Amino acid sequence: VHGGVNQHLEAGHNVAERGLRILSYVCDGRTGARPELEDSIRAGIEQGADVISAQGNGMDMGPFFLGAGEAGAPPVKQNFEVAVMGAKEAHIPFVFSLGGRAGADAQLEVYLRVFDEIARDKGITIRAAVISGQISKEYLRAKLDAGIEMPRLFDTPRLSPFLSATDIDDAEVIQAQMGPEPIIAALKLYEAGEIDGVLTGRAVDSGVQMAYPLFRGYPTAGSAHMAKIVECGSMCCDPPNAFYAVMAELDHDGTVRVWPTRPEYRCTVRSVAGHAVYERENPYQEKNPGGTLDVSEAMYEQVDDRTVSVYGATWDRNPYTVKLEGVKSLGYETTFVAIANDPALIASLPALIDQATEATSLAVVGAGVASRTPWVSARYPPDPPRRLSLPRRSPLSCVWWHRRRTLLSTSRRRCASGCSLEISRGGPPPLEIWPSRWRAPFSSKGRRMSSMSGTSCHLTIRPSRFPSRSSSFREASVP
Amino acid sequence: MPELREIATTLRSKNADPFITTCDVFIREASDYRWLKQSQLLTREHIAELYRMPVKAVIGIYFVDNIQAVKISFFKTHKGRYIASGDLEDLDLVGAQQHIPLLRMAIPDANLRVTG
Repeated sequence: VHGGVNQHLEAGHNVAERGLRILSYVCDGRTGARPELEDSIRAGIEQGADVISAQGNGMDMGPFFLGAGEAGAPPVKQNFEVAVMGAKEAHIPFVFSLGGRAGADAQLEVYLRVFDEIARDKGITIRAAVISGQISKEYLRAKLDAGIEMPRLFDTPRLSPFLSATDIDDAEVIQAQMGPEPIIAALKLYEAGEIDGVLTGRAVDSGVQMAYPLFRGYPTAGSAHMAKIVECGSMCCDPPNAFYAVMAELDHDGTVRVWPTRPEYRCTVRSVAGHAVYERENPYQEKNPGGTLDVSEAMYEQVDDRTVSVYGATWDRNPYTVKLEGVKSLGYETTFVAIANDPALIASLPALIDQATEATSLAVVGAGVASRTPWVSARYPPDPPRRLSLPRRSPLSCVWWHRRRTLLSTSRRRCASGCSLEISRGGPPPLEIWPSRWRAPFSSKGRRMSSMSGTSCHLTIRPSRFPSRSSSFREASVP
Repeated sequence: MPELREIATTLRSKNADPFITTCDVFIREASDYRWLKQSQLLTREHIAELYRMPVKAVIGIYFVDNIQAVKISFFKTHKGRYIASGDLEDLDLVGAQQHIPLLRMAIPDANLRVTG
């Protein structure tokens, strides 16, 4: 095993002598704009990166953003700019998966606009192959008609055992986690000098980093294990966070060396092996399109202070499959918190809530939502915890919730700072009022989305402030 | 009675899907890890009880010897029902605080060498 950061920094190495160097970070906007990230990307390019890869979409936050066509985590221009400009200058390709909290065409579009902006600002042309992550319903229906069964990945009652025609019809949008293969196909255009890099919609996190090594003929197991380690950028470092870039060097025998591009961080056996188990329900095997990565026999070795070498993963070839992610709309909902500071207002709160309830239901009917019933009634918590007991003149937060009575289910939801609300079956749902530290009205708005299944239905209404006039409830979104 | 957090270097959790949460427990000392592995402390039944979920919702408990870590994966549930990220009943959108019940899990073995 060789390597070490000094050797990495030596000039004059070429790919035939050393391994292939993959620079990786997270580009989905959740990192925010970070000078540290930009510096680490620059440092990685200086350390001889052969490709810049970054993952930028995920579904762990649930189905809402996919269904609503929103990116959720807006793209941060700086984080792309430094990579795109650096890649062009260094004559290396970039490979990004895009979209934020989902990776269908709507989210991809949001992210692509940033590349337009960069090109305009810098007066350059960015030539990229763009690969959609969306799957057309017709395509899936044709597969079903051809008798192809699409089983659920996990044995959960939230998913149909097999994808049905109804699932497809009900879906707002369906995306698939692409593996590295479409990216490899696009990289042929890079080789031909026609593009600068590849931008994709929804993709397997590690597919993004695997693509270029596979394209260059490196072994699948080593590429996949390398990708799994660096897919979250510096999450595999000590201290772990996803805020800056890491470098991996891959040899033709499948050996990987990983190090952080920033000198103040290090990779340790524990940080690297620890990350290899992160975000996966099984630490040893990971299902991928076309194969399963098995790291149960993998060995990790500390090469120097901040570099770890990894080898020994295996790849079991399977029939080629991709993971489909679909979402269907359940309706609309809103939750909001409002603050009452005036003692007189607090005293008359029950009456005001009744008023607001009435106004809300009127507004909803006025907005054309059919078969509404009033849902909300108010009560103070019967037995508030002592810690939260109500001092005089304490600000109050009111949380309320309304949804179709027909779909009412018993549930309890705690908000971030100790607010809670309760909905019960039969009888009007009660409203609870809790003291809170919150000082600003808070509202969340959105359609509720379910991963191809579910029963609840919600209504989105965005009030301006509490107590409300009926006009402030007029911004209702209608299904 | 010592608690699990006293023998661990890292305890963390994260969604592995909209439907699944996974917890990672990294143990500091090899002896503690070996003890934990052979003890019947981390069983599917015990985890189900700790998290108040049906046993079948616990997907797996994996001991990863080379890094002295335990991975515990389970479906996201609420009152015994399966839920997904962002559901009304989902109290932890990215599943990043689901390791809390493990922190204070009591370790009954008096012989266990506590190094925290």
